[in-house]
Formats: sequence, C-alpha cells, structure tokens
Amino acid sequence: MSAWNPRAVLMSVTVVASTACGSSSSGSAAGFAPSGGGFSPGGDDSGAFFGGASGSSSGSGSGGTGSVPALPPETKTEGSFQTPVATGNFVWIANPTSGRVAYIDATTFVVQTVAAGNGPTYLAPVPDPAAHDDVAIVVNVLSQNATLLRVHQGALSTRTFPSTTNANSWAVSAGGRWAIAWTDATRATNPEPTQGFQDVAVLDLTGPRPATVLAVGFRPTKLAFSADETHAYAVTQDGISVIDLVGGSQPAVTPSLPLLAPAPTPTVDASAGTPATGTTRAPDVSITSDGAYALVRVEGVPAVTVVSLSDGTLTSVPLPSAPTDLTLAPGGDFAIAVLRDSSAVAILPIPGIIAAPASFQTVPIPGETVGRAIVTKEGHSALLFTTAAPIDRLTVLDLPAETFHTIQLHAPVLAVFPTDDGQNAIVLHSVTPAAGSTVKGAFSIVPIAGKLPAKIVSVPAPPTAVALSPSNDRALVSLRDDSTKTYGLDLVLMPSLQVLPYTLASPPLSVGIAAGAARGYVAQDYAEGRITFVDLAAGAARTITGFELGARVVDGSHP
Amino acid sequence: MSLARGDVPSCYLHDGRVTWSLVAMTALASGGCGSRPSYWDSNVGTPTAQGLANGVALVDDANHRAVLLTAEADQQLSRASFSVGHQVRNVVASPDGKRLFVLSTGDWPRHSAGDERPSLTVIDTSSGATPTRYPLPEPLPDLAIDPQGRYAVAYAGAQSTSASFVQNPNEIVLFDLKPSSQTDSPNPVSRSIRSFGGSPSRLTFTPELCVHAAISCAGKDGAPAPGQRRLLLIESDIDVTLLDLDHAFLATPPAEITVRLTSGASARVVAPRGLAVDGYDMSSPGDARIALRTDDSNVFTILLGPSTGTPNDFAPTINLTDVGGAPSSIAFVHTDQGLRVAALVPSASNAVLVEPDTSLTTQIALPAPYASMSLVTSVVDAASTAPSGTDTALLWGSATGSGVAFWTLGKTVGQPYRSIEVLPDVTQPIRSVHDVPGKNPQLKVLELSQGSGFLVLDLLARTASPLHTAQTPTLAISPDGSGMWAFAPDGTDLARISFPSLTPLPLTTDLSIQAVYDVARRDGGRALVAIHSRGTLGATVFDADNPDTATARRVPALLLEGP
Repeated sequence: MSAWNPRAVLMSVTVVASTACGSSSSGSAAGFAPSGGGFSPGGDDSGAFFGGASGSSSGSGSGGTGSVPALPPETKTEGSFQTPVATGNFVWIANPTSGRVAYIDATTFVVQTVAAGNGPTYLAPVPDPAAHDDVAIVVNVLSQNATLLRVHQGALSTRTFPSTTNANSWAVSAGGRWAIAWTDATRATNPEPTQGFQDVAVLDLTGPRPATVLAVGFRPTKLAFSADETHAYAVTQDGISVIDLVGGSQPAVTPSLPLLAPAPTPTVDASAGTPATGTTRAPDVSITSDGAYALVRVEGVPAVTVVSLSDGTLTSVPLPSAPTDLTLAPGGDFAIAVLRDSSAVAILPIPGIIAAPASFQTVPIPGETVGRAIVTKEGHSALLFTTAAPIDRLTVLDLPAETFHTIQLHAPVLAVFPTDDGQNAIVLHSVTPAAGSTVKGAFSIVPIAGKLPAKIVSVPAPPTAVALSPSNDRALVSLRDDSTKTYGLDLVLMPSLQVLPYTLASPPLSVGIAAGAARGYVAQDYAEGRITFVDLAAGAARTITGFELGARVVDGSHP
Repeated sequence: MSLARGDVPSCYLHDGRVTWSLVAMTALASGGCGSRPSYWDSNVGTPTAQGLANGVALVDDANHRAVLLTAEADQQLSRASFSVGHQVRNVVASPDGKRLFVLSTGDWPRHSAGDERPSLTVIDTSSGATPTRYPLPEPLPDLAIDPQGRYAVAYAGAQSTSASFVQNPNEIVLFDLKPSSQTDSPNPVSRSIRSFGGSPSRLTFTPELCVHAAISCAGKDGAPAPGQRRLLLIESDIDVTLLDLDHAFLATPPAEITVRLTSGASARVVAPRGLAVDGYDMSSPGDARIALRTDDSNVFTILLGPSTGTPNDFAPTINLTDVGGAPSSIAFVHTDQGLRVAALVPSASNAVLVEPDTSLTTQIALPAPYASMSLVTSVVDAASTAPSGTDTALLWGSATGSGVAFWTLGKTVGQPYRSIEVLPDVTQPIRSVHDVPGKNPQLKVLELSQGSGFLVLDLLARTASPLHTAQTPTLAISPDGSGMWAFAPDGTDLARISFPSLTPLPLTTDLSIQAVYDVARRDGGRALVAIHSRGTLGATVFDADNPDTATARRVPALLLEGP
C-alpha cells in the first residue's frame, strides 16, 4: 500500500520564512515567518516550556499587575502551523512510496500524477511571474535529487536536478529563478552532534547556471535571497554564509559574515538569587525582504546587531533591555524589538538604524506583559502578546501613530495569525483540558482593527494548522486528537466571526487556500491520499481519496 | 403418447385439442403432400421457454422460430410463430414483459451466401408488429436490456463461453430500440471498449443523471435537458467503464471513460463486485453519483461533474472509503443526516454509512452478519401518515440465522439504538427475497437457504407467515400481485397461494412441470401456463384467478407443427 507521507505535504519552513525575505509562494495563503520555529506547538529551539521560570528578568511590567516575574523565553510556533503547497488552482502532494507527485485541480478536482524521483517528499511552490505557469519543486530523498514540475497550458513537464543527501527544505527566490535545497536541522530526527548539514544544492531553474552543491556554515537555520537574485544568504551557527549566484562560472560561497553575537552575559534573578541560565542558543536572525540586512537577536542580550549583507558591516543597537522578540515588518522598512522586561517595544527604522543606532523609538506598553510581536502585512499595526505567561490579552499597536489598545481574550495565547488586511486575527490558545471535559483546545477570532470583542471558540481537539485566505474573509483551522480520533476543520467567516465546523474522516496534516479556485483544502493522513476541499463561499465540502486512482481515470483524451 | 414431427404433414392444421387419430395421421402421411422442408425431419431439440406479460414464448432454435403462446378464454392457447435468427444463443424478455429479444450467432460455418449471420431479433408482443432483425458483426453470447426499454447491448461476458474461435470480449454492440423512423443514426453500433486486461462482466443502465452543472438539467416541454445523460456502466473484472449512451450513436461518439480500480502500487488487483447509482434529483447538478463495492474493504464513490472539455463533457472524481471489510451489498440511502452509501460488512457484522462527499463513516452494529439488503421505503412510507423522507431497508442473508431485520435509517445517525429491528418470527437463514408487485407491494416472499417451505413477510405488519412444502419448491409470483405459485420441479404438484389471505390451493398436473408462467389472457383475467418438456412440449393451462384442476386444459405438442 502506497503511503502519502505527512512530511511530503508540508511546505518547508524556509519557504515560509523566505516569503518575508525576497521570495514568494504564489497562490496560497502562507503562514508567518517563524524564527527557527519548531514543529510542535509549544516547543521551539529554545526548549522553553510554557510556565517555566528561567531566563533573564529586569525592569517592570507584566500583565496588568505592574511587576515582571521571571519568565522563560517566548515561543514561536506560528511556523508549526504551516500550509501545504498550492500554486494557483493546483494543490501538489507527493507520495514518497510510489515516487509520484499528485497535482489536483481545486476547481474541477481532476487528479493527475507525475513521476518524480525516488522518494519525493519535500515540496515547495516556485513563482513564475513570467509565464504564470504552475510550478513546484520536490526533493526526492531516496534518489537524492530534485524534480522541477511545471504545468504549462495544461501539459506537465519535469526536469531533474541534483540535490543533497539530507535535504529537507527549500528556499526559492521571489522571481522563481533559484531554488536551494538544504537541511533544516530542527526537522532532522535525533541528529548527531557532528552532523553539520552543511551541504546545499543551488539550482538555477530557468537560467544556464549549472546546479551546484556547496558547503555553508554549521547547521543552517534559514536561507534567503537578495532582491535582485544575485546572492543567497544562509544563516548558520558559523555566521551568515553568502552564496554568489551569478559570479564566476557557477554559484560559489564567498567569505561568511560573522553574526558577532555578543558573548552570553549571565544576569542575576534578584528574587531567586540564582544566575539565569546562560544562553548557548542560536541567534534569532531576521533578514529583510530585499536581502539587504540581517538583524540578529540573542536571548538575554540587550542589543540587536544589524548586519549589512552587502559588505558585512556590523552595527550594534543597544536597547534598554534584552529583547524577547525581534520582528521585521513585511515591507522591511522597520523592525520591532519587544522589550518584555521594560513593558515596551522599540521600533527600529531600517536602514536608518545603521547610521544612527540610537534612532529607534521606544513605545511603552504600560500595564501589559508583551514578549512577542507580529507586524501585519501592510505594516500598519503590530500585535503584541506573550506566550511565556498565562496572559489572556492581545495588544494592538497602531503604526505609525504608536498608540495601542488591548483586547481581552479568554485564554492564554499560543500563536497569532493576522489577516493581510490587518482587520482580524486568529489566535490559538494554550488550553489545558480539564479531566472529563470534551474541550481540548480553543481559538479566538479577534477583530484587531475595530474595538470589538474577540470571539472564543472551544474545540474538541487541539488546533494543528491555520490558513488565511488572501481575500481576508476566511480562515481554516484544523483540529486533531489522535487519542480520541477526533479530526475536524473549522471554517471561520470574517467579519461575522461565524464558525462552520466540519468533521474529517482522517487526521489532518495541513490546511491551505487555493485562491484561484476560491477553495480551502485540508490534506489528511491516509494511505491512498486524501484531501478535502471546502468551497469558501458556499461552504460545501468535497473529499478526494485515492490520488493514484484518480489519476488513472482514462477518458480517451490522451492515447 | 408422444408424436414425432415426421408423422405430421405440413398441410394439417392443429386446433389445439388433444384429439388425434393415429390411423388418420398414418393415412395422411402415407398419402403424402409432396416434398417437404427439412425441418420436418429434425427433432424439436430443447426449446427455451420465456415468460412474457401476455404469454409464453417458446424459442425453437431447431426451426429458427419463436412460438408465442397466448392464453385465451376457456384455458385455450393460441399460437403465433415468428422467425428468429439461426443458432439461438440467448433469450431475454424486456422488463415490462412486452418484448422478446433473441440473440443468435448465425450459421457456422457458412456454406452459402444465404447462410445467416449473427443477429438480434426483437419481437414486440404487444403491438403485433413485424419483428425487427438487427445484424451483428460477430456472434456475441450475452444480452443486457435497458430497464427503460430504450437500449439493448450484446456483449461477450467474462463468464460466457466464447461463441467463436477468437472473441474480443470487449466488443459490445449497442442497439437503439426506438422505432427506426425516429432514429437517423447508425443502429446498431459496435464498439470495442478500452481494456486494461479485463472483460465486461456486468452492465448497468443508469437513469437520467444530471452530469453537467454548467448546462441546465431542467428539461423543457418534455425534452431531455442537455445536462442530463444516461450512462452505461460496464464492470469488468478489474475496472469500471462509463459510456455515454445518449451520444453513443453519433457519427463520432465520445470515448468511454475508464475508472481503474487498482492503483498499481501493489500486485493485488481490485475487482468490482457491484454498484449502485444515485440520481435522485436529476435536475440537480452534482447529484450524479455512483457507488462501487469491490473485493477489498473500500467503497468507491464516483461523483460526476463537468470536465474541462473533450471528449466527454463530464468527468468522474473518485473517493475511497474503507468500511472495515469487504462489503456484500451497497445502496444509496437517505438518512436524517442526508444522502449516504450504506454498506453491509458481514465479516464485521455491521453496516457502515458513508458520506459520499467527505468519506465520513458511521458504523452500525448489526445483530447478525446480514449480507443483503433492499430498500422498502416506498412501501413503508406510502403507508405512513408522516413520511419521514428517510429510507427503510430490509436486511437478510445472514449465514448464521436471524433471518431478517428492518433498518430504519431515519434513526441511525446520533441514535443507533433501536434503529435495527430484528423480526423474531424469522429464524431461518434466508437465501433470497422476492418482491410482490401490483396490488400487494407490502408483501415479500422469502426463500429459505435450507430446507423446504418459504415465508411471506408483511412489511407493514412486520409479520412473517411460514408456508410449508413437502419438498423444496420453485416459486413464481403473479405479476398482478394477487398471489403466487409453488411447484415441485419435475413433479406434478402445484399450489396457488392467494395474497393477502395466504390460503394455499393445491393443484396437480398429469405431467411433470418444468416451469410455470402467470400471464394475462387476451380476454382479460389471467392464466397459468405450466410447461411440460416432454416431446414437442406441452402445457397445462389453469384459470389463474380461479384455478381448478377440473377446468384446467392440457395442450400437447406445442411445437409439433412447422414454422
């Protein structure tokens, strides 16, 4: 029996991250750029746990109480709830067992499959602004190569490229010319300490440059491209590896740029008298969408380092306290550093902060404990919250007015997903089920633009994935509880805040939006392959099971 | 006394009465009437008897004829002879019993230009029109008749013996049975169905289905809507083919659509075992669904929808649902939660309701591993003062006893308790269930798997009345539903059981009975024609409305005279 590998349906974290760094994923509502985000809700590479007492603390400010207890580092789990691969009207799903990739027309539900390499697993969409074809690329883990899949005027073609041994992620440039297969160590199972995962395969998808396997620094965590697609940047533990894509006869790695993260500075928790844990964590690096700058945050260090990727210049920006989060605006024109211990945020203009490191604006958020920030797509507001404490409040910071209002929620925040228009947000909550209760999770629909109350929705299974429609009026939240075999999908309507529940026959893996077909979809864990489409307007659901079978329907149109 | 054909000259007319004088016959024979056709020297052979609405057809292949026996007043039988093709291979009656289809393979080997080729002869017994003879390109042994009477298909089924040295099992011949004056397209049409190694085994004609959402499915002035279509579903041993019947007779018909059931991921071949069609609302786009059960644990649901273009303007999308075991029977049912595919899974002793569009399943534990079901909603709901809009099914066929049960689907989802009602009166395993048409639709006749006797089930009263027989009977239901007949095969015992009183009336015949046919009489009323396959075939005719051996008439030598 063929198995549609769950991993094969998931978009790589890097693609989601690179959305904000110069590449794009067409046709789908992407998740939000994580910063080294892990897979499971509640856990990231910090290893922090909700409610734990670790990390530094200084200053004051908490959730309405005026004091800041010792709180652990914030967790970023938005990347865990990532979307599968969709391009235009098509949803792509790989079957590692059969060696085929299915692409399903979300409008007609016609299923076609195409042979890829041996063990196609990791898929990513490839933008095609020129021909507007539906293009995707997949890593074939067993044959250690990659297959480029292109649908041009209804005809599917393939092209094979070399890849690397352990590649499990993709970085694709905004123009769709370059794709880099690399290994995200956080997705590897029990990696050996000596496994560096340093090989990356640089593929010129549309140009003449030869496919090249290069070595970057130790354990890359993120890849991004410059806006002009001449360089790629790999954030590693050895610094930022710079890949010259167009110079010479083939792509090559140029001398790395150090991140120059300041040495860990032990701080003392005055209340406990014990030193806070020093940090050996990888720095939190954000790269601007034009690939010009990288901003580096190290947990516990009261400063942000700005790296000019063009020449490696480092600029240190001292801050009043150690930021617990550093978030770039999607437009790349500013960044927000959340100063949890100061109950404030610092807004760093880019690139102005380089010339004047003190030119950031500090906005106090008195009475609130905020440790995380997410900037809406248009940059008009930032959502401030904390995942390190059971604070059931969400603060909306209006930009550039720098005023804020706080929305009362009814459960602690786990993850936040604002719509592109900044009008609403889906907030996943951290819920500890009570014994005997059928409620295993909750999420809220929050009107962040208007002064309206949030609507909390109790669900019988923990939410596992979120997708937002580009039209900003629909959201999908999948639910999964394997112990009770409860599988479901909630369709959220905005601005009415209605929720339409659907029961799923199989465990959901990921959700997404096929914008061209005005349908949402949820891929499910089923041996023969299963996906359910939901008409976003009418609400009707259709399930397609058996991708290989669906592709083998012969209608006489082809010999 | 049996009479050989050669003893009867062609100039002698038979009046249907058993009054022969051997001396007279010998004198006539010895006097002679000149040369005679060869059929007078050939044996009758083994004619095929086929019951029709208003008579019995005896297909005399040796003499290339079908003799239609019509019941007259006073238990008389009149005969009319019709020419059929040579080498009869299959005889089928239309579902309404008004037409007889005779499939012939023709003369083989052909020694002269006059030797017949394969053909299909259609005899309309209600209109008395001249039979229609359709030529066939090659001899085909099997015949499927459209329940609506519009189409017929000749084919070589997977189980059939080849009719010629080399046979293409995927060649089918489609017949449009509309009167030729209304048909301006080629008729019949021969097609070789696309095959991936399988051969057709079962053919199903769908009702009108709304297959095209983009074109209206609401017909105007009685004309069929463009979006409505009738399909021929051809199950082979490995796949299912959908053929557009309504466009099959075009000069360039669209290619058929083949739904392959085996993914190719393993060497195991999935074989279809039966299907159900839902076209409940033929004006509703997206309502055309087909459910298919196979020899594995999946139920396939195929939804027809618009395609992207040629060659067909509709396309199927497939959904699989694992029901936990090989289903023995499936049907589209209406529950209080909407349309479902009901699947019986005897190996798990349960039933599974599958939501066809989402693959969500609801399991219903059954008190016994029932293997068969039929919907009885039309009877149950018709008698109800408040029709539920949901279906009721009759379950039977358990190998372990617990004869029959009623499954009320309106109480299934969310309230499985009490949705299954076992009929305590029936404890024996049931082999088959026969519908009673006409005036007593609330009755079902249950044949037992073991032993003799049978049961008459009243769906409304939920009672089952046993009727004992001295030996295993063969049963025949009256088409008007007024009663039934039971006889001992190759015996002389016969009984009439009236509905709904269930009063058995014993009867007998002089000769052993091979088959009985309850037919309409030309003068009104009904007659029972019991066939005796001795000699040139005989019959005993009873008044079906008031059967009495005293008034029965034996009619011998039904095929004695020439064609």
